[in-house]
Amino acid sequence: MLKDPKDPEGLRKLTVALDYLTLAKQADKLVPRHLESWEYSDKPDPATEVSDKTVGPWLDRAKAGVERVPYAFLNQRYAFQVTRILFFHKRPQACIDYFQSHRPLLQGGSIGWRAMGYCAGALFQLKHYAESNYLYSLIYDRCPELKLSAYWSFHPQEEADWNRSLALAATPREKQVLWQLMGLHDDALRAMQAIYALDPRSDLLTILLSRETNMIEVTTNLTGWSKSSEGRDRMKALATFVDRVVRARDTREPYAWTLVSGHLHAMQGDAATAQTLLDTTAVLAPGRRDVAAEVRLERILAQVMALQDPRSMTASLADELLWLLEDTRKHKERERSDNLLAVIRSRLNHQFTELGDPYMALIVDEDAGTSLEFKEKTARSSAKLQRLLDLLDRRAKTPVERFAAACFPYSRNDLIEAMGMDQLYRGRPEKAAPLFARIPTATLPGDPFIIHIKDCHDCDHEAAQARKYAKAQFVDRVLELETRARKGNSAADYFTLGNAFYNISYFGNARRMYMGNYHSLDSDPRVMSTRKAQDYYLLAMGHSKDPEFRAKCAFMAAKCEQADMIRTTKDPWDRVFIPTTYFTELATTFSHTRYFQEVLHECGYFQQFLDNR
Amino acid sequence: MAIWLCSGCSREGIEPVRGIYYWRTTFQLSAFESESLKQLRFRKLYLRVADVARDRATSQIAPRAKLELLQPLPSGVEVIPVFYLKNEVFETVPGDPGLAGHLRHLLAGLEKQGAFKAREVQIDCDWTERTRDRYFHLCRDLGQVLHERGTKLSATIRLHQVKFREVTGTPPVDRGMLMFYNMGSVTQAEYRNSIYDQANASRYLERLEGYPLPLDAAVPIYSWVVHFRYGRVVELIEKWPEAQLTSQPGLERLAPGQYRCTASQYLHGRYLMQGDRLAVEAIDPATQLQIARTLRSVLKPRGPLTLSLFDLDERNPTLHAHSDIETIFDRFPAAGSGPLAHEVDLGLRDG
Repeated sequence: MLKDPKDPEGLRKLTVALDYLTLAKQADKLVPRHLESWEYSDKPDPATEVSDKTVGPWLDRAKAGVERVPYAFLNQRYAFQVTRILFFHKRPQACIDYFQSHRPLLQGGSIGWRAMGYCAGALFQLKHYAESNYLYSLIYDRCPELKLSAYWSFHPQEEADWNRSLALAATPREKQVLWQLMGLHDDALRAMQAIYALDPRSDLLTILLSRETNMIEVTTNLTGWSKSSEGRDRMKALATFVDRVVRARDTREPYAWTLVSGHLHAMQGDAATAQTLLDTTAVLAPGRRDVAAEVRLERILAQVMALQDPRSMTASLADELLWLLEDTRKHKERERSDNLLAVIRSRLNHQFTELGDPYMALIVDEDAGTSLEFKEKTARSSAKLQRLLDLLDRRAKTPVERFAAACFPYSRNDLIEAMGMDQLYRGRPEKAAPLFARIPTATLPGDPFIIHIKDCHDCDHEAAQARKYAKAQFVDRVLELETRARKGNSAADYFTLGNAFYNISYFGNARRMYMGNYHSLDSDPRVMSTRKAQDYYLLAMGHSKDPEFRAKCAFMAAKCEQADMIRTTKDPWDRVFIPTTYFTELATTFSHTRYFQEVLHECGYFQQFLDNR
Repeated sequence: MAIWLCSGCSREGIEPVRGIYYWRTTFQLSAFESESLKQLRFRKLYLRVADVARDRATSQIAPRAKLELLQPLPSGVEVIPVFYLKNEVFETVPGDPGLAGHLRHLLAGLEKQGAFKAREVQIDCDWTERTRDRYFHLCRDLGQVLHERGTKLSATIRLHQVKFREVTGTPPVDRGMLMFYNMGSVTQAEYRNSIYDQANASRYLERLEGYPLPLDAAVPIYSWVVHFRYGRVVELIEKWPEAQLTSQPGLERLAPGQYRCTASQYLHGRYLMQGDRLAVEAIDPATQLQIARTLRSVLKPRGPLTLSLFDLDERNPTLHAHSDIETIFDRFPAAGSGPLAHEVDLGLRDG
């Protein structure tokens, strides 16, 4: 087109199009940035205001474009630009006037609706809420690109302007749209009742039905954990209306209403009525697989809500719940089933708690939410862990036990690992070893048998290791050392054991020892204590005559002492802990050793200790 | 060593300096508000200048709703500009190392337009343990910048920051303004006043002694309406005087300050559903007396003390009860026994 001089029309079109684009790009800059500047003055903020001088010429150009450019397509766009510039230049009345006087020109296409949007915004600024909200409702209904924006802009202030908006509606449809907007924002039931009265077959009803049901679900206590009866009244109000509509059978999608009615009855524990309504729903929506899927979920809900004692769960219900569990695991995107499953598990958890069975409550609970306290208790008790294991292992399970076992997110190995950890931290490695032997165990990241003056776990983890230890192997080695040390009274072995027990405490490099799949023993006092390590260091010290070695033992004992000080202080942050007992020993007995010098060189606390003596 | 002579001190105690907050986005006093300023002899006007917030889209820190002066600032009162810094400013990175400079610039602009010079600037920020270090950094920067021009810096201190001061720390500023309100949780079941509640107050106040900053106090005179639906709080509605509710059709008065909605309706931009409850929480004269007494039992000022009201707005019914307000400003007992007519104090930052 550009290159063809024989097409003057094409060339002219191109020229005027480029003219318009230039204006459009510039007009964009006339919209102020939304961030205020750090300038304080009575002059307009250059960041949020644009001066008359700047805007004037562009406004004139836009107006000229409306009048003079001989293409209706561009006239409309120029008129849009005028409207927009006036809006952003804070001249709302001029914006409104211009829009009204050029309304026929501006009609059509999203550009027309955008212009209307500015007019609506200007009306709102001038507090003409009725007209403003009315225009927003038109945009909401007829311009998909701006639907969401119009939704958020809609905001009646008083009943008076709300009623006036309704009066402005030119058709019944326009009235219904206003009601839908209002219903989605503020009061879905009132809106449904109004729309239903205007036209029972309106397609604007079902989303409101869904909305109100969701609002009720959020406030209704389905699991039993909350004592409040919040949603009940709201549910009753909706149920009354829905039942009326169900009986009348005059809506566009009757199945939706029977489905919701069934849902409400299910939530209230009336399984019989719910099932009947669900049967009707299936009949009313033949061939609808989505409806059939929903109905299946509803039937599950109805049965669970009617179940007073979980122990009397039927085999068929358990089967359905197992299906639900499987389905949810396979299809993570199915939020509805996921929610339903979560509610059911929480409800069963509550029921078992009330029945005084914390084990079943824990097993069925999702992610140990309300049963966290009990879970912690089990992690510290091999007996309790064994009971859990027995429950899961039992051959002849009741229906609810079958479902619960499938829910439980931990494996047998996880529980056995927990038992091993429990025994080890009780100081019974000989009991821990056979347990760890039965299962694959995690590898400890560093060498748990070495120690330094300054602890650096990351360094230990990154250092090259000739041999890595899995938890099972660690325990085996500890047992080896213990046996050997006792026989030979070997100071070196005692020292190594001291290292081992220091490292599996909170303070050491082998913390992974107490982090299990089932549970981690964080802040368990047994994990926080370095008593056993200290005992071994002192034993080592007592069995050696080498002053360098003994100095080392003394320092390591000091580390344990410091760890203990930290453990027993309420708010240990930002404090300095000086282990005086063993620092004293180090200073008085071993000041002549090379190790003493090493410690002096590396340990600031020790220097501080000496300075304060 | 700093020695001060306090003209308001006497054997009977310290008369507080009267202050009041102004917290709207445009500065325009109604006739009543102007009158109240004069009649109640306020000497300090704490003026919100701007909010400082973090823009969600760009993560940039920028001022918001800068105060628009629609009339000259009142003469005869000391204007203390207040910057409200939202905690989000300090919550994430990037920070703004130039923030103190920006605030000083804003201050200069305000002073120019308002034709005054600020002797004190206040920052209001509900900082937490997480934002503490960055906020304190700003306090130091701003303090430095202000001290260079002979201006002091104060910061608001909320009750929870007194109680947990080891965790939240004490801001490095010259003075603190103890905000003596918003103590209770808002629940329908308890029907307690969440603006000021005596039982709640005492729990926080036992930690007040030995607070490392000299403190002034801010006291509430505002009210709000708590909007309940099915027992849950929907929202807090500010500046709705009870008078508006008593005459509103579709609202049934159940008890003083308690209303029920009998007809669903839009009201002043909010939506009330049938069955919703409205609870007006205000500071009645009895509570005011309680506040005044409690303040006097926990605050033992060693120097001049400013007592400030929140806030200057004719929609606050309490502002209309001038005699009640006078009781708030009764004398404070001075710290220490064996009072002297003039006290010598050591190393104190003067007020």
